Amino acid sequence: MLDFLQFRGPWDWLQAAAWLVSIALLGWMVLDAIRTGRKFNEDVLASSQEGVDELLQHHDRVR
Amino acid sequence: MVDTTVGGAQPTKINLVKVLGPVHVWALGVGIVLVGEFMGWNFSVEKGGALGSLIACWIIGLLYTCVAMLDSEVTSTVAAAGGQYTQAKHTTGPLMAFNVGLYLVLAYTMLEAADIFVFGDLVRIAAENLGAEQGTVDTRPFVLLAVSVLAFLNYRGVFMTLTVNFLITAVAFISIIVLVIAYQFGIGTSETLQHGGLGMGELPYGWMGVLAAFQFAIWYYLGIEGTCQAAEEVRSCGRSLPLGTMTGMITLLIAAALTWYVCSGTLPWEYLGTALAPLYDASLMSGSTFLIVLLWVGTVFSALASANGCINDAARAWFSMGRDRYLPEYFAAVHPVYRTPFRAIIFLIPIAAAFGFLGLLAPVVTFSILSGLLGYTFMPINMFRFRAKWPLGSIKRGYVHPFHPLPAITLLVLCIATYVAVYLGFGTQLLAMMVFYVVASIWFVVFRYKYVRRGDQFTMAWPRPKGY
Amino acid sequence: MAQVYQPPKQSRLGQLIDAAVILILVFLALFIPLEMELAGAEKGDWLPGNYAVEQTADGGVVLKNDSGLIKTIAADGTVTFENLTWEALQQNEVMQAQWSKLGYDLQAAAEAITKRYDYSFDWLWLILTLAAIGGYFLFLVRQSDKEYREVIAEKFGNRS
Repeated sequence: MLDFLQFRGPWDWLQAAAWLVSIALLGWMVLDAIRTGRKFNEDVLASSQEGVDELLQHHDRVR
Repeated sequence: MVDTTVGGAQPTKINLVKVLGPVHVWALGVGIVLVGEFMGWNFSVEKGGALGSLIACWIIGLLYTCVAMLDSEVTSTVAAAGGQYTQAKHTTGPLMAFNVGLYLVLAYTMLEAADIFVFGDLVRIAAENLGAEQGTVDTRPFVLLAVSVLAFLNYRGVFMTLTVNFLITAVAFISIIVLVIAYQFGIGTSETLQHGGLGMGELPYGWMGVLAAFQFAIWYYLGIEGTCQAAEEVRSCGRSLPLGTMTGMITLLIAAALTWYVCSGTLPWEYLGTALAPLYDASLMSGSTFLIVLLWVGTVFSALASANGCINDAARAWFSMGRDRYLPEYFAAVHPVYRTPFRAIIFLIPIAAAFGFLGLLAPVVTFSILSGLLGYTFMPINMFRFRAKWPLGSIKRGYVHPFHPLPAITLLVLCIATYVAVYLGFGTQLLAMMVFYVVASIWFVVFRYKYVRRGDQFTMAWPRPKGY
Repeated sequence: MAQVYQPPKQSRLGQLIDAAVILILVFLALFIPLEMELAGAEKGDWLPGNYAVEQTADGGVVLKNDSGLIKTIAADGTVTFENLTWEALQQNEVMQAQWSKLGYDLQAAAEAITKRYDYSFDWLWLILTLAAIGGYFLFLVRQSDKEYREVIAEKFGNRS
């Protein structure tokens, strides 16, 4: 049942490390996303505008 | 145009950040595609023989040259993260745009799944060569590691992501050149290239095989059009994008020719057509440890660079669709610190990982190729409508492609030929894909379009289109 | 001035459902062809030169070519060859050397070599498939154009 806890060599350690690092990174991203969602207003987060470029700066931006 | 915070107050507007130069555009385009020379293109050899693959490589090269030309013209005027999706919105209309957005997300996410699957398999091959017992190495942790590290990079900022992509793509590209030089001049290996001896002048399936090879010849270049996705983050987009895309296309044409040359000169075509990593196999045939290690590294780097670029592009397309409410607006968020579409990045991780775990390489690759192909079919439509609505001179274009409408017509004809090729090999999947896009379109029209603000979708500062 | 369309605000739950719908569709599109085992074309048995195919009494298949090479596929899938030589497989010395460097012996190489695709196809189905793709694009462009006119009218105002 707990076969995966019996390490047979360096590759098993490497696999375990890969699982742990992946989970840590994914966990950090999810936590940070939730934190950011709480800290900032939704309207601010979604406020980016399309088509903002120097090619267009000579024109008056129409909204 | 970017409003930043002063003294810790909350910002009122957050945009993606403009930090990229032509080098990053090149790295994004070539980075996604170069893995195609390390794996996948050789299935075209299985379809039509080595010579058939080369002819298909040239013809599909022409298809992509047209793609790059058409795309550069429209993109040099449409500076938005959605790339072709945003183009479709402005030239053709919302439903087309929704479909194009889905092509982009699925082409890149499925390509990403194939990349990380191959990465896992390469780790297994290395482990077994280094003495691990056959069949004991589980590839899944490495597949997950690849996708989580790359997603983390993407989450933390686009500049670092694409700078890393530039470095690993360059190493992968150089590894191909070193392999060709080693064989050509007999440096470090006593083996020689034997095209004649391996029966290179023959077409085992005749010209039908050449046509069938179109399907996987797409793999030599699939993803170069992804450069458009960076439009919103590139400094002086009108110049950098065409420059990065065109140099990327030239790099790929060179890489494709060299790859074919060295692989078909070392491996019998019946083997080459089914190999997992043909360039790596070509290095194994040299007997040189240095070349073997170099090409292993090149293959791994190309797979990672591709997955990295795909995460970047798929997330940008998903994000753009969220911003217009084509998809839930939750995904339209930009991270206030890292300036990346962070929710779109996270959302797409499990999909890529799931298909990477399943390891269904051929159907996943075909899904990706077909989504790409549908996108290319849209491009001539896009160009005709763009030129008709805004004739030359009516708006400022960063780049104008020559010989219109010849490239658009050529592209359309080659797309149809490629559909026939896909039909020969994957007819049922082609129809299943069409059903998927039709169902998704109906869903969009009936259930989704009601959440979309009509006039706000049109964001370019262009005059009213002619005839509307 | 055209009337400005005000879309309803979508709830978090609605957003979640919509994201799930797309996901389910993607998985279905990949799995249905796989489940029907129709995803990709399989290669069939083949021999160099002119060859004849015969069914055996126990459900196997025998291929014989005019230079005497015989490939037998038993009902359980086991493949055996008779009169197998590199020459019969039309492999010259260079090819033989590369196969052995790859670790393929004569039998293994023969199994890789004597399989080929069959590209014969039905014109009717091909035309129907192409028509389906064409029809799909036509539908997209037409429906989009209707919606596009609305967008332009709201953005630039009605034509005077």
